[in-house]
Amino acid sequence: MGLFGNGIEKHLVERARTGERTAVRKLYERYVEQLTAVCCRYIPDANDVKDVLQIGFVKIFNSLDKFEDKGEGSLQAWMTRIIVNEALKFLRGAKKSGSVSYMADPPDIQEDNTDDDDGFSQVPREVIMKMIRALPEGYRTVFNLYVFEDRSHKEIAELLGITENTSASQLHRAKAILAKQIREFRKENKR
Amino acid sequence: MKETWANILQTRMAVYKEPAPEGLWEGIEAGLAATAITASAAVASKALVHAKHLTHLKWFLVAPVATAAVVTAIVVGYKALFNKPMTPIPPKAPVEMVEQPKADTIQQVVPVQQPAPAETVVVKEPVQVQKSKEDVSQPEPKKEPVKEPEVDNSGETAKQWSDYLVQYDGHNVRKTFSVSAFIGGLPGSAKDPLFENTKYHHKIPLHFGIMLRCDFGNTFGLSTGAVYSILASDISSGTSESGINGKQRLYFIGVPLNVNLNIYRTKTVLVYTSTGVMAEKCFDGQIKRNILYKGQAIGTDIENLDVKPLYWSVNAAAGIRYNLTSNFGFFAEPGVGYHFDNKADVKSVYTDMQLEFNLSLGLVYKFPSR
Repeated sequence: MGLFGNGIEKHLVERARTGERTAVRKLYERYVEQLTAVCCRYIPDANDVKDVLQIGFVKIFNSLDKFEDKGEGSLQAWMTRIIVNEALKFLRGAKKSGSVSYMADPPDIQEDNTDDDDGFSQVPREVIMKMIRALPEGYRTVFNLYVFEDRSHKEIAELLGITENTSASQLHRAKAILAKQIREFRKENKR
Repeated sequence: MKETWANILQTRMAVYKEPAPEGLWEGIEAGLAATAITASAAVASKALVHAKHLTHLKWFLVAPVATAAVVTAIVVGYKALFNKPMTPIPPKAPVEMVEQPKADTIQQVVPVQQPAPAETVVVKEPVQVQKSKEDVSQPEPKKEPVKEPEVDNSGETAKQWSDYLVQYDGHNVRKTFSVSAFIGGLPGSAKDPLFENTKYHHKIPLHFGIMLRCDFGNTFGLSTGAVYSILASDISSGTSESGINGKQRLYFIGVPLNVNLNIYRTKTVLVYTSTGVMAEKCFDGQIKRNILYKGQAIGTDIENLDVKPLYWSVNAAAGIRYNLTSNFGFFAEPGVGYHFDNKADVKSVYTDMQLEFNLSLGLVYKFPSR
């Protein structure tokens, strides 16, 4: 729960709903860093991250009436969903302009068996974040939706306008790239 | 079914944070204000026009009534307190002015205390006496009728400045109306505690007033009236790329109550001091914000301000009045005021720069003495 109890959070939401700026500011300060991290996972460019966060936060604070409190963590989950939607909207716009591609037939990458690999737990979070952000655009989006937003391949396919097979294939390859990078990182740090 | 590695990664990264991009909050503020405009601009602007006129009208009705009430209280209070001394003074009344022949031009003003009858208030009365140290307490001093310094013009050239020092005259009441316009204050800047990044630059406050002054004798007077004030501030937050700039205006109506002491008087010039208190009510106020996004103004937001608590201040001034005719003149009053913190959320020059220096300039009409 961080610095605030759930009761205080509820109180802040109620005050923010009436437009009280101090409450809005406090909610912003409470969640901005987590939501920035979410946004950074989808979008590598810092200026684009700022634009998407700005639009997302405005939407959050203008839609607080629609938020239903379902217990601890529900506010953060709701805010994260809005930020992710805005990030996807941005990526769709970028896709139309040709800067993002979801390759139906991605290049072949040598796969590692990492299903029960705990390699992630031995790599600093900052490094993992860097690796995720360095993934090719299409891979990264599928990877994020699947791993962090708990979306199925069917949902991802609908969201991104691709087939389920493409989604699964891209996830598979994203995972392979990450596994390779983690292996290299660990090898380098063992020396 | 989500694989184990995905769950491990999700859990590991759940607490990960990144610092917020610089200027994000300012952009969000601008975005919130912009969306508020689109939602309510039409309704708000209509309501604002109607409400503003009604509010101003209401306060312009209230202010004169309040002023009239204060004036009535002063007059009633005066009659109650001073009625007896105001009754005609018997020939042997103890309060009188003794003016000695002007053989010796060096004169001084000394208080003379006369024995008072049982029912008469003892007062100290300044008199002009010769330097010859004539015994002023002798049983039968030379007496002359009471005179006002400014009435006697014939010997003006022979008089010293000290002749015009105002002398107490308890049974000569002048009532003077004055119409005045004030301008004063010093510009400054401060930060808003709620919005740390909002800067205020306060402009010189403008005061316009109508004052009624009632003199009780030559020395002492009370004045009250209605003072209309406008406090304007420039506000800004964020950057010129993404942020807000605009103006705040607060409108006040105030009722002052001042004690005036006349120091020096000739036929044409009056020097006096004024000290008193003033209660002010902010009856209207707005913040107009221009929303800047990517360097472009994308909209305007007008927020009405509602300030409940009264503003109190204490004021002191020294004034000089120049009479163009026996009834009409103009005056200048440099002064200083201290505004008490009324804990209002709205910032203004009153809350940020509590000490206000001002200069009042005005016209005065003096009703003929009865």
